[in-house]
Amino acid sequence: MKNYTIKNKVLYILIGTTMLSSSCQDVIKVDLPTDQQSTLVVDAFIYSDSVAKVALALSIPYFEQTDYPKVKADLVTITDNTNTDTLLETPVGSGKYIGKNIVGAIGKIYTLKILYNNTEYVAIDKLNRNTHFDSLYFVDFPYGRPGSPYKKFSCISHTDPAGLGDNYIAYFFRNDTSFNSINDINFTTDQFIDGNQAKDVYIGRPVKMGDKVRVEVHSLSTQAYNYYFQIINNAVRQQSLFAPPPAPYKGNISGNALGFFKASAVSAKEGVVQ
Amino acid sequence: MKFIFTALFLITVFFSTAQTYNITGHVKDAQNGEDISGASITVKDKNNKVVTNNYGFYSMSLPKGSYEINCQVANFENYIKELVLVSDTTINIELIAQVKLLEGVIVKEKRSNKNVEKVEMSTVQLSSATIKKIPAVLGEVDIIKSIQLLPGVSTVGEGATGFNVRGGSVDQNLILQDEAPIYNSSHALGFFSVFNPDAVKDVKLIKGGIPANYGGRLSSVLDIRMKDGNMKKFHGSGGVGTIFSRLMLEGPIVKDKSSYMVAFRRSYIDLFFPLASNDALKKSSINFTDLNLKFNYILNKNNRLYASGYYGRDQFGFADFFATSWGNQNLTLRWNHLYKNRKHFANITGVVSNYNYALGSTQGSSAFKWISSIKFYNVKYDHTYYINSNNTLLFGGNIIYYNFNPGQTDPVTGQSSFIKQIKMENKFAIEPNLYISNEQTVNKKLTLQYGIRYNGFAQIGKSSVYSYKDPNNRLSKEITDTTLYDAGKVIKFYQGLEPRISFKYSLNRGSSIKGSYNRTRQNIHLVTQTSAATPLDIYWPSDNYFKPQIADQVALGYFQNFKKNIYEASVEVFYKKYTNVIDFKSGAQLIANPALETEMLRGIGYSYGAEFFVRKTEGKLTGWISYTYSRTRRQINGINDDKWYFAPYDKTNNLSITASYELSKKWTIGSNCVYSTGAPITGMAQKFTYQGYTLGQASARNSIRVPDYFRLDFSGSFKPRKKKYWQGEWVFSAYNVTSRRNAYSLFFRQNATTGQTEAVRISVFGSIIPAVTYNFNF
Repeated sequence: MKNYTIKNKVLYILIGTTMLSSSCQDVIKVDLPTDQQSTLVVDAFIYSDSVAKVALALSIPYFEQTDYPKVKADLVTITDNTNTDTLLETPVGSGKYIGKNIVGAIGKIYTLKILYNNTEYVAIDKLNRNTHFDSLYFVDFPYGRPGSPYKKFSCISHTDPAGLGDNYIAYFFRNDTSFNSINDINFTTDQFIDGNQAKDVYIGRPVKMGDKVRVEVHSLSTQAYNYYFQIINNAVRQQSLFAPPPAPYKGNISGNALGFFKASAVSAKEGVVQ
Repeated sequence: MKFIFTALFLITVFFSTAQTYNITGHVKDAQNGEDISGASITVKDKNNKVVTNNYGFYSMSLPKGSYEINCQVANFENYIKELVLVSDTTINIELIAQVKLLEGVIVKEKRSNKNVEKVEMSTVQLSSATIKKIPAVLGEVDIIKSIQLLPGVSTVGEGATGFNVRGGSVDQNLILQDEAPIYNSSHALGFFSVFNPDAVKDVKLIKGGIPANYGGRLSSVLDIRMKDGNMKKFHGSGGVGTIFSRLMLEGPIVKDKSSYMVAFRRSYIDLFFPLASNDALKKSSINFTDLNLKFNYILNKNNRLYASGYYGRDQFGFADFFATSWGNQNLTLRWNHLYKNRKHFANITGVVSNYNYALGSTQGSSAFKWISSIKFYNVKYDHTYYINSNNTLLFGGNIIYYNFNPGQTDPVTGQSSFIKQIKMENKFAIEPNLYISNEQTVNKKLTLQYGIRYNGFAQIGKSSVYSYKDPNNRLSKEITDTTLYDAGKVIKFYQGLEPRISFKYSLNRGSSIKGSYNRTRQNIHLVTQTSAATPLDIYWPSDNYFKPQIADQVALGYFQNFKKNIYEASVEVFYKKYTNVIDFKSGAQLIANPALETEMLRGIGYSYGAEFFVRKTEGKLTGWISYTYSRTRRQINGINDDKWYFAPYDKTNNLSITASYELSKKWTIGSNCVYSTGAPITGMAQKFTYQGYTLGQASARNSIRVPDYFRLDFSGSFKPRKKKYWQGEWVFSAYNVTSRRNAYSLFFRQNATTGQTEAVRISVFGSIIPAVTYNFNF
């Protein structure tokens, strides 16, 4: 999807520029400011036709190599403005909470509430409509390493519904393995293609003959799109010479908690490379 | 306005009383007929002293009598002439370049102590010859890299575009190439500057006490004058280097009447790409080109015309994936006029300049082209009135018209692109300026320079202006109203006065104290999130939200020369206060954003520092030591929790040593040694996981330091015996001989293999960079 988002494209050009011009990177020790406090982190989502899932933890100093402390909340609930569902910690002590009765539906607005340490944290997101995922196909990829069997690339075509404000993120699976590192994040807005069909949208990584490929396209609310944009700026773009400096994350959870609560519609296609 | 003319009239009346005669003329290089600016004309046993202007002209008034006139400037033999003054007299002086005898010992009766005697402070003038002695990256002499070795000048990182002067940002430098502004002074993402050293006559950097005839930027003026062209005979110079080759040709069209200069430079690594086995590399490009053209014509003894043009372009593309290019183009036309009484010298300048960049992808259904530009038109009048030998009055004015195109995206024709056209509105502005300034020699010890500059700035239509719920901080980006202004209609007008005052007080022949105060205003704002300039920077005019940036600077200095002016030393301290300085909100999105005011905030700032400079100008060993201590901070509501923070170019300690030693007539060796405190950056403080990603939470603004910078370079040049029409020179250089990995920047990541979170240093050069260049003159 990245290849039709001009803003992202500019970022990739800058990253590319850097890759060519800077040959030298190494890990060094840096002193960090010591006055930063540990905060609540919420990793929560609800997908179309699925129940809500929430993981709670605390942040730790950047270079610390310990596990993130898990958080036990007093109460975790989700509402769709009509019904309320209480999420239960499953398994107990894991910091992970799962809903029971409410499943995601397009167009609905969901409110997540977490009561922790006598503070109520609230997050709201809308489950947006998705693009029409037309097809998944494979094209030649001549830029791989000589001799590499990975000579194809996955492409999708999809048709954006008329009207601005639609945003999408794509996930790529090769032979049932998810490629979900920060560098695999692939998302876009319809700002430049509103209402049109987008073709030849490159997805994921190179593939070889016989590979089983699955592509999922999830809808994103505008605030979720902005959150992913922050991830790109803070984590991916940093590797460029002209990178803007990292910025504190602004998610949709009240009370300065980190993380995000995301509602998405999901559509998927699978194919075998031939 | 009115008071300026009244003042001018009064000064004219006041000073025009005694019966005197004028001595006027031009000072030129005898070898090539080039004008020499900054040459001192003095009268033996008298107080009188004048300095030639940018066009080599001087004028001096003296009563009837017998005099001995002396003209001196660095690198030239002194000129002495006795005369009996009974009427207005013209003395055109041709200076002879110093001849070196006995291995580098220069035969000279008296060495210039201009740095002590002149009222100007915080100013360094470098000749093209001095710059060529400094060891340079990849063997190529570079003007911007050279001035970074001077006190008060720093850079955020190796290979960073531009330079920072006394705690100012890169856009606060007024860079003029033959009076045309240069918005992006670098090629190849910062490794080389756009100025071809073969075509440059001289370079002057003014960091403080900025005279009233310069304006438009807060922190400095870098005034680069190109060669006019040899008036005497055909001459050429050039070089073949590791990265690029150069050729400059100059000569008379009609001897001593008109001449031309043409210079060309191109990098050539990409010429080898088609030989590559990799398809992607075959279709890639990385190159830059410079073309300088200059022509001048002496109409008669009172009128002279100059035309100079520049075209520079960088291309950078990778396969069909992306292509980007950027460059400056400009044209300057000048007319010098000397009035009949030879007390008035005037110059009219017209400048057209265009900086633009393009970025795009040429392949597939997402092929697009993004373009952005700044067009600049300037008409300027400068007048020098040599009132008497103690007063030189400068006045003039200019009017600038700006056309900013912040960005436009078009689908590429011929491709089935589904990209829609997106156009951000152009911004237009008119900037009128007026100035008047007098340099007055009060007595043998005290010289004053005082002046005032008026600056107006009008943002004009056609343009839309957005209104916001919260017009001060625009924390909510919600637009509540849009007002459309017609073409030419004034949207917002700002005006203000900029006082400029300097003094010099001589303690004795070899030492002086100088002080200055100046206010500067800046109406074009660099909108960026990076501490170094990038080719894709956006410039934005003052408007309803971006107010004129204002800086007030005071500086005080002690200047002393030793050993018959062979050693020049100075100590200067400065304090600078900034108003309406801008910075970006955390996480700002600046690309393709028509409402940049929602991403930028304005506030206050200051910088202060002390600069120490010792320079040896003559002998086998030449060079300088420069040390600067300085700090620069900002406070902007809405950024860093409203607390003070370091500007990204706060570099506390900065030390440069550069030296050149003449081993023999054929061999010269040189070395640079540079140390500076690491620049402050924003990094990560805490980490957490979201959706399987390990993410860092940012630290306070600019609260982490990159490691300190250190670099040592060596160079050697070998000049074989001169052939009849040909002088060659081999330059061998080694940059960064300690192979230190100086950090350009740091980023924070989770290691993909180990899963550890770590800080990664990006170094542009991680090892020693050897290079060989062959230079020639004919």
